[in-house]
Amino acid sequence: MIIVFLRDIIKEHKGFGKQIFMLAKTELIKTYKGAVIGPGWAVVKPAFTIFVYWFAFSIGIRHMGHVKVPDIASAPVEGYDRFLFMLIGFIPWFFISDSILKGSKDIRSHRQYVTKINFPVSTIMTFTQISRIYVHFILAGLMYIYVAIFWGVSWFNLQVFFYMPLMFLFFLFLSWSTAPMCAFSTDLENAIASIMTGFFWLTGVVYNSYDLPEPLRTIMLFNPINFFVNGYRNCFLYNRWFFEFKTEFIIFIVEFIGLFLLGIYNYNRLRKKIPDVL
Amino acid sequence: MDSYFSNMHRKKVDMNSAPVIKFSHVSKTYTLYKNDQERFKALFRKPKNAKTNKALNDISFEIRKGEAVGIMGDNGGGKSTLLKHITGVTFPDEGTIEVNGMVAALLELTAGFSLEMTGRENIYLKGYILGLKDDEIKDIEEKVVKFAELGDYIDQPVRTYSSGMKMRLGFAINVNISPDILVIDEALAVGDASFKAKCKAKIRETIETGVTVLYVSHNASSVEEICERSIFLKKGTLVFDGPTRETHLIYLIDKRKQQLAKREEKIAELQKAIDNATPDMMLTSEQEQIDKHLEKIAEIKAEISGYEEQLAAFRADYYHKDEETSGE
Repeated sequence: MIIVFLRDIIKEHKGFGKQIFMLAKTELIKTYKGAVIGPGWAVVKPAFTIFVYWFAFSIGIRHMGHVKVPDIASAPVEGYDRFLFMLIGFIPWFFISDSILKGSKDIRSHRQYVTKINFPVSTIMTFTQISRIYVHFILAGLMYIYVAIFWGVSWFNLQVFFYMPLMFLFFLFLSWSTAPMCAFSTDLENAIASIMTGFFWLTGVVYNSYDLPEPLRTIMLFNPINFFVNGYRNCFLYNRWFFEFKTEFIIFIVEFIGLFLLGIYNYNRLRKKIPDVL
Repeated sequence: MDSYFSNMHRKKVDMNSAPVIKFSHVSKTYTLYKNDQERFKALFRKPKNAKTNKALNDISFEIRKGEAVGIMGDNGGGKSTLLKHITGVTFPDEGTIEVNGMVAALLELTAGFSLEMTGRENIYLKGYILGLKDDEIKDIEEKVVKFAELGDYIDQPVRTYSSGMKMRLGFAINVNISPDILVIDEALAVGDASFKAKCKAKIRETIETGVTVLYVSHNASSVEEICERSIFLKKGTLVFDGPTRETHLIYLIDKRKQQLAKREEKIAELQKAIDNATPDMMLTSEQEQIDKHLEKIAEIKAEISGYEEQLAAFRADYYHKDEETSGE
């Protein structure tokens, strides 16, 4: 059954490649049109957020300027620089929170494609996700310039081409579940928005999720956002391979497959009902 | 649409060819959720005791290549639901639908436009959605631009367009893609009078090329000009499927009978009021109303018998001719 369902989604994408990229482009234009610095906002907003958090942690709360990471053998004795640590964590976080929040609204906000014309609905999630990964790619590039200057480059950096596509897919699969469900009910949309605000603090973006007492440390491994946040630090900060922390990796892979199957199931279960309720 | 469609010349339909559109026992039920909570619960389990509205009830028919079929029926009869199933926007609960070929729907002309893209980019976008390839779109691009009469606006974002301009672009794309199936709703508004005339001429031209046409209208006489065959839908059920003239008469008779029933109901109500009244109350106005209704009923009945005569005459002529040809 799952294979049939997956085939349907693939069929919806076949031959629509150009259309998907065109629509991804318009998504970007829609977000940044009419502003004087236009796409600049894609950088200014996150930059300001990072600055504020850095200010709070390094200047406001003193002695917080460094992060100790006991697991990493090569870590500096006084810990990693807080700003660098947060910067690398924030970049995937911006993408993830955007993907979850906007991804759940994808179908509802593009309802004209669902209720008026015969449109491959699953591609809506794809083209919005592409527009988001594009912004993320640019931010990650800017971050890398900073990392290269103040921390240095290494072969481990290339792992980002493993993490980035994985992150793209993981949250695309999530939106296969959330977007059709939110088309049914705005309650769910609001619930997701409420959860995400708090979820920031349950994720090791500004602090180190490894540096917690058990069982919290293990529980944190089940938060897939931590996998990516720590993964980006594997690439740029810790100089560690993605498979080195086996428990974390295996937990993630199980979650990844589970979410994929759930996404296919939910999308196909609801696809034909959506035009009637929207 | 009257004068534009008279004296149409269409190719003969090959009744042995494979159907372009095939409905087999199609039913569609809309669930009317009491509130948002019910709707939310429906995500996880089948709603029980929810009100339902059967929009289509066991509909079966076949349309062959080149046929022009009219769809008649009152509001709520299921016309739009039927078209939505053909254009692939909605899906049936039961039964199967086969649609072979590209469908151009002159229904939601501005649907699917991306407001931030230019008119020209939107031609491509709409083309992709309809399943066209790049070079196919390139072929029709100039024709569309010319037809839509947008001038330099074609390279401006669609959000700067007036609603009439959007409509024109939508129409131009839909009629220029050389569809296999053309779905037309008569209530379509496409802007000013001169452009309307141009649209009608274009529709006529397209119909004459022998595409399969589905034509929805309240105005049965305009259906008769285009379609040899018509379907009459009433409350989601297919009442009749046959020659347009016959369908039209059956539709008219049905409509009159409904009016009749309504008036009879009213008379019964008035009569009740009179019966319940105390002798000293004056109920002359009620009696007057009853008389008026009775008068009207007589008129309607005369109309009905007139239509029935026409129907009998048509049937005798049409089906008798059939027998003759089949006998030869």
